Amino acid sequence: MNEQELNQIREQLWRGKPGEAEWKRLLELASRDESLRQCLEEEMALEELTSQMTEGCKVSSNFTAIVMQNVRKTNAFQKRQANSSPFARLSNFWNLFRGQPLIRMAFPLVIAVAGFSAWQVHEGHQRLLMANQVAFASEAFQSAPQLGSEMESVRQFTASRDGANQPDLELLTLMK
Amino acid sequence: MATEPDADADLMLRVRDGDVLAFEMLVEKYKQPVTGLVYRIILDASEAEDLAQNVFLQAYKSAATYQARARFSTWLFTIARNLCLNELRRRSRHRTESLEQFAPDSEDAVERPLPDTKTPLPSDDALHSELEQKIAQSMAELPEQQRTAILLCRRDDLSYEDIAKILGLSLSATKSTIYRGRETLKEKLKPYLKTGEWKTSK
Repeated sequence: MNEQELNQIREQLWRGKPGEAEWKRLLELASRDESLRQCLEEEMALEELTSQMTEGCKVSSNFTAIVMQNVRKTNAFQKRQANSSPFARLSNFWNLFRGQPLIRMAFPLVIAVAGFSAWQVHEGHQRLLMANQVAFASEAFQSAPQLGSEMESVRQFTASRDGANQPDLELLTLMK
Repeated sequence: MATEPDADADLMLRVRDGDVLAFEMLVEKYKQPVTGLVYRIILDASEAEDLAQNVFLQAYKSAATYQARARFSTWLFTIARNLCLNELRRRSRHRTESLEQFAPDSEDAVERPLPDTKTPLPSDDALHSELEQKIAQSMAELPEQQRTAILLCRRDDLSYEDIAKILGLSLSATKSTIYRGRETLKEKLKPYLKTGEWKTSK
């Protein structure tokens, strides 16, 4: 018998008692070789001994209940954590439509339309504001024609001084 | 051995999808083997159950990433062993030696009734218990890896490949570890080994 075959038999013995046919073959092999007989017999004897070994530590009756209680606590904690951050909330909302690509595609479209509409409203508002200002200015020029020449003087004076943003006594006097 | 479809892996996939009841079934099925393994690795009865509960909790937390690539028992025992090794490392850092470390069945020993002096011979139970203690002690004296390998080898649902995965070793290294462990056990338990019977009875 070669080493490989012996190892195979040994590995079988480690996993428990051999079957009837294997047992017969083992006895036959053992009867031919004394050292092999001793080796196999020791393996069998050890297997028999270790099979008497119990689990060693019995679990308490409330083991499962304790584990499940901890599981529920973990679930509650994870849920709390998931709801606490806005990104997580958004992610949860997004996950509601898992497997519904049309609804998911509709979201960016709705956001784009809403954004465009908001921009349009803003532009309209700005245009209205500008029209009101023009109307007010033209009304003022019509009621006081000298205001136009004074405004022109101010504009020219400001243009002649580079970066003249500061209030100036000269300008104030002129305006008066 | 590992050929039939793994029903426990299916249960774990249900757990991954949020089925808590499926997890309860798994806990019920594996609580004793896991606690037994944990106890044999850390050799501390008082801590074994707590650690075993942690094993299940860890398994539950990892459910989201679970993939049925290996047998469920292989996956669970791997978690159990890793947690045990962490615990042993933590202990070695803190140097808190348990009094039970080399007397695994000391709790049972305290609870065992005193021997009946009226009975002339010790009962079979007492002999059995003594033998069991001797086996447990011999096992406890083995290096952790050999001890775990031998224990896992005794489980019918784990193949040598599964044991190798749990131990993080190659197949040949696993078999060699089991062999060395068993050789040491044979030496320690030599007086209890019933040999010499094949010549006569079989």
